[in-house]
Amino acid sequence: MSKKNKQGFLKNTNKHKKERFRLKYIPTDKTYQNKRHTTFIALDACIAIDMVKVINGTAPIKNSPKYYYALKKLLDRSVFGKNHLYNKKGDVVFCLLPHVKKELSNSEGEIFESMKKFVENQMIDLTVDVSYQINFSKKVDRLSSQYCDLGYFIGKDFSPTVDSLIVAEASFFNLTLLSRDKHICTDFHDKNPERKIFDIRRINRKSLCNCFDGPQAEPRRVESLLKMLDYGNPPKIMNEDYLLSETQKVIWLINTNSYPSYAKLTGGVQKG
Amino acid sequence: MDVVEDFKYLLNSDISNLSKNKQIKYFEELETKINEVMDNKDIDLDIFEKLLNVKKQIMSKIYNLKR
Repeated sequence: MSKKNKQGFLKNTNKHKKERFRLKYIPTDKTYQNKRHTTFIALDACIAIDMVKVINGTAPIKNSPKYYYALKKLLDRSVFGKNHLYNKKGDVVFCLLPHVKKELSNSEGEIFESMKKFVENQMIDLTVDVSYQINFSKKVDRLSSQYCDLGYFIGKDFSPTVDSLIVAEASFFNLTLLSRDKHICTDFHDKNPERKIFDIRRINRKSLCNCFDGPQAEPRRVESLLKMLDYGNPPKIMNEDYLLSETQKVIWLINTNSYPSYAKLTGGVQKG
Repeated sequence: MDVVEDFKYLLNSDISNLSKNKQIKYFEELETKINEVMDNKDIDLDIFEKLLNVKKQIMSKIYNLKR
């Protein structure tokens, strides 16, 4: 028969002791249990375009119904709706990385007309503060060159592509990068498709250990992202120190579930 | 679709005989031109996506030349 201590708990492993303590003493508030943690996700340009197609109703659903259905599910879970309406039940926030913003901007730095409505209403612009830009660029360049040294994100002429910078930026901010590009996510035709993600995580862990703590984000496809949100452990800590103060405020309001539903997004697309 | 092919042709043109600065200028002007085409409210999103892929390659060339 197992021995009991003074509080009446069986002298088992600490795990069992903690579980019993948790069940007995932590109040089971239903609202606390039902609130899902908000996950910040960086979108690749191709995904943003597909989302606009889904919203406009012009998506070629018959070609790949599973993919567009998964995108629709993800859009429904977004914290910001079509006309920037705040969705309290939403648990996903879409973020615009600096290099993805460059891809979707014209020469004057303004988002292209066809993408403007979606980006301004449903995404958060992660513009880096001017005082940190040089430092940020150096870190992203260093990360990107480490990926390329291992042979990832290289173009036809064996030179680095913009994809390496996008993955580096997402890694730096600790955001899951959502993409359908086989160069960014796992390529199913590879002999060992998980090797790429493993190598990226290893480089990130080594290079970014001083920036933040906790589980590392990685590039994912839509189906894999939804599985992670429902059953997995999404990365919870975002590295937001280099962002503009307005953007940090918006992120804080979202995380504390106190974003005013009537207010216009102030941390949205920044001009220039 | 012709627009996309035109930009691909310009992207893959052999300009290795030009100096590095002139090559950067060439690709930057090409990027400006592709931006003008993409900045159209009524553009078909399939063509937009194809132009975006070309723009990504242009940006990659500029990045590598400036490294």
